[in-house]
Amino acid sequence: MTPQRRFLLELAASLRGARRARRRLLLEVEQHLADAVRAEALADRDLGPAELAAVARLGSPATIAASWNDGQSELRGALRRGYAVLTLLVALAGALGLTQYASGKSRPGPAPACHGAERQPGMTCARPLGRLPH
Amino acid sequence: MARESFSGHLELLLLAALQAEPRHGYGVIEHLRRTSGGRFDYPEGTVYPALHRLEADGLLRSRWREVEGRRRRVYELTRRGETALAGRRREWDQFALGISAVVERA
Repeated sequence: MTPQRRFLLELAASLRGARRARRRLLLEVEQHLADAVRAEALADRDLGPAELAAVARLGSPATIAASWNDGQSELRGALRRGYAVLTLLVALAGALGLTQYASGKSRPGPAPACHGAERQPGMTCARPLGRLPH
Repeated sequence: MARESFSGHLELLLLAALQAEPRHGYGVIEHLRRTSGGRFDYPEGTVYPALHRLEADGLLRSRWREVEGRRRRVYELTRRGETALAGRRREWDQFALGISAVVERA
């Protein structure tokens, strides 16, 4: 097993957070190692020492994982806060809706029928019941 | 520069490294090494979590691109990132001025 492969396996085992994000980080680190090994080889190093130097420059998997995991904790905290705000907004909207529904039910119904004496076919009722002049 | 000092300014350095042009992670690290004259001593791998954090904060955006025949994740500043860089640069200038003033009078 190459030093790069060992490094990537160790890093993968220490990362937390979403699988997709972890996979992307590992792909980026893998690409980085390929570039770094090539650069070391161009500087007249043999492959073995070039690989070891590239891995050493990255730092330990634990250091990278700690930095990554801190960021993931912050992200989870931010998501939790976001969900809490969303839940509160939904609850407020629900409460508002219920209040409006309840007040709608207590509104007066349609205008009462007119007195028979006033009512004529085809005509809109002029005065509702209870407002007749005495 | 000591690791602690470097990590305290890592995000500013990454934003500044991406100001001129989009770069992939290794390109950012190479740029930092070149422009600083190799003065920074830090674990290069910590750049990647920092890039992800800046992207999550909306200061960077990234996508896979084919660069020199290989697929790389290339990062660039967003408008918010440009604004943040300008702000952090002002803070840094003030900080550096203050430190210089104190140290040179000591």
